[in-house]
Amino acid sequence: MNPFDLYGPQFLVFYLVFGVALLAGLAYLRRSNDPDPSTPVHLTDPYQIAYLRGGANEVMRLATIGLIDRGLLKVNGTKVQVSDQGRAAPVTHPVERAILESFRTESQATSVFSNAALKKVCEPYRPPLVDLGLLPDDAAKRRALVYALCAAGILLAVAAIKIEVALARGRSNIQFLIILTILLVIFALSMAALRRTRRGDAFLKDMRTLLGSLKDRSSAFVPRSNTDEVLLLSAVFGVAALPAGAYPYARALFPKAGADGSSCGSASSCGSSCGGGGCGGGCGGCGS
Amino acid sequence: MPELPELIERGLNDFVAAAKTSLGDRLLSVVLFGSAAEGRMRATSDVNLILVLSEFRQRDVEVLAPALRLARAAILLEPMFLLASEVETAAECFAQKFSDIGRRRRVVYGPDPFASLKIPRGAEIFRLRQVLLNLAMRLRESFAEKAGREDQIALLIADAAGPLRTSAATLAELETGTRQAPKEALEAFAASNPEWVKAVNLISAVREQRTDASQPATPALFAILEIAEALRRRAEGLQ
Repeated sequence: MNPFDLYGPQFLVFYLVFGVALLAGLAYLRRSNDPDPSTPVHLTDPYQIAYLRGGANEVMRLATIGLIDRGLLKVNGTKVQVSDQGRAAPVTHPVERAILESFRTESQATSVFSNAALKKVCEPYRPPLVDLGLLPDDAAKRRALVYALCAAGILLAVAAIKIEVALARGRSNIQFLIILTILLVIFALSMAALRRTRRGDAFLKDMRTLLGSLKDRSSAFVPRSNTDEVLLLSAVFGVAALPAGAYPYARALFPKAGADGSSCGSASSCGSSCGGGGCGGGCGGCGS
Repeated sequence: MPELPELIERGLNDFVAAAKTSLGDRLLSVVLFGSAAEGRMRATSDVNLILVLSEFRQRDVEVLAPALRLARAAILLEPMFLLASEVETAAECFAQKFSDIGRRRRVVYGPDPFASLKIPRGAEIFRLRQVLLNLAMRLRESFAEKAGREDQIALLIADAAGPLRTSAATLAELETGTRQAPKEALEAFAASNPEWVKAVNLISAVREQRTDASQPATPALFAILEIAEALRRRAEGLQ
């Protein structure tokens, strides 16, 4: 049976099933070479965990919140500036030092996301995560892109053939097919970006389990007394997980983190909706 | 050997592995003590750990620090860094604590550094009296601050549980030579007085966070003060 001989509604059903099967195959293929997710990984640095979860933006967000909690930055509405204590503090951590430097004058907290120098300071976090198999290497990213483009091409080709057949037979009711094609192609292309490997996702899931009790205890956090806990909680769950009572500035400074933190259900949903570092302050905010 | 909750075991194993790596052969033993070693952990229990070292080096501990922060956040790990050369002095100076460690411990790594530890009886009696007197004075001061706030007094009761139970166990051991679990030792000591029994039951309830708001905490606090004073009087009679 030639599927292109099917009538409109029947072909739409066929095309939908075909498209879903193709996307499922794509989802499998793009991660088929991922490292074994059951291999245990030990990361303890909150900044490294934050990078894994949301890239350089998340590291900057975390460092800013941590420095505020330590009293080295002061908050004024949605703006941040280095405090007197911060000017004198002998801070040695490169990211923290760069963040303090970027707030020498009062600026919007979100200005860190457009600071190329800060992004560069965060980049050393990436290679070890790739080496540990938590982030995809360039080859895996390219492979995912090629698979997604191939899937989109196949979807477009099948739809184009059917449209040509339909038009040749004098039918013009092709609007639903065009809409369905656009939707399936968007899905396919959204799978081109590979944010983390399955091992990376498994590690974050494991950390959420390990630090579940910390999240439960977070309502008892006291500003300037629990900086380590604040950093770990924010690294794993996002700054939106900080209790608003004790840390009201966290959501005010990074409102997108709060919004994304509540809307992103899983690590993979964040990864697939945000490109490889091209989504400004958005992706890093996926809190869970 | 009592089993630990899965997450605690996992967090502890991760930390001990990190300690072995960062401290190298300076790490001689790792010993778990307190409620975790006894298999009686509650959701809010600390995980008490002693790391016995031959040397405390700056670089070693700087490397270990992130793993410690994570373990503290994940499983409420409370480590004590003790040099091997300090074990005997520590046991003498903190006789009450080390007497408890003698009763409740689990060696996680290396040889047992406390296997042949003898705590001088005189030091143990002195420290027991000191702990009980300190507990009574702290409870009085805290009550003076928090009188009328039953919720906060309930927290005082929870905080008093540890030293009170350990003191009862130490006293029982000093008096009879037999080792008892701290919780059971306190229950046995309080059994003669119905008000004390009620207070001891409230301690368990508060620590397990199953109290109801209608349960008055103040009478229990005063009963606990009485128990602490009675324990101290008995300790003063020891030779």
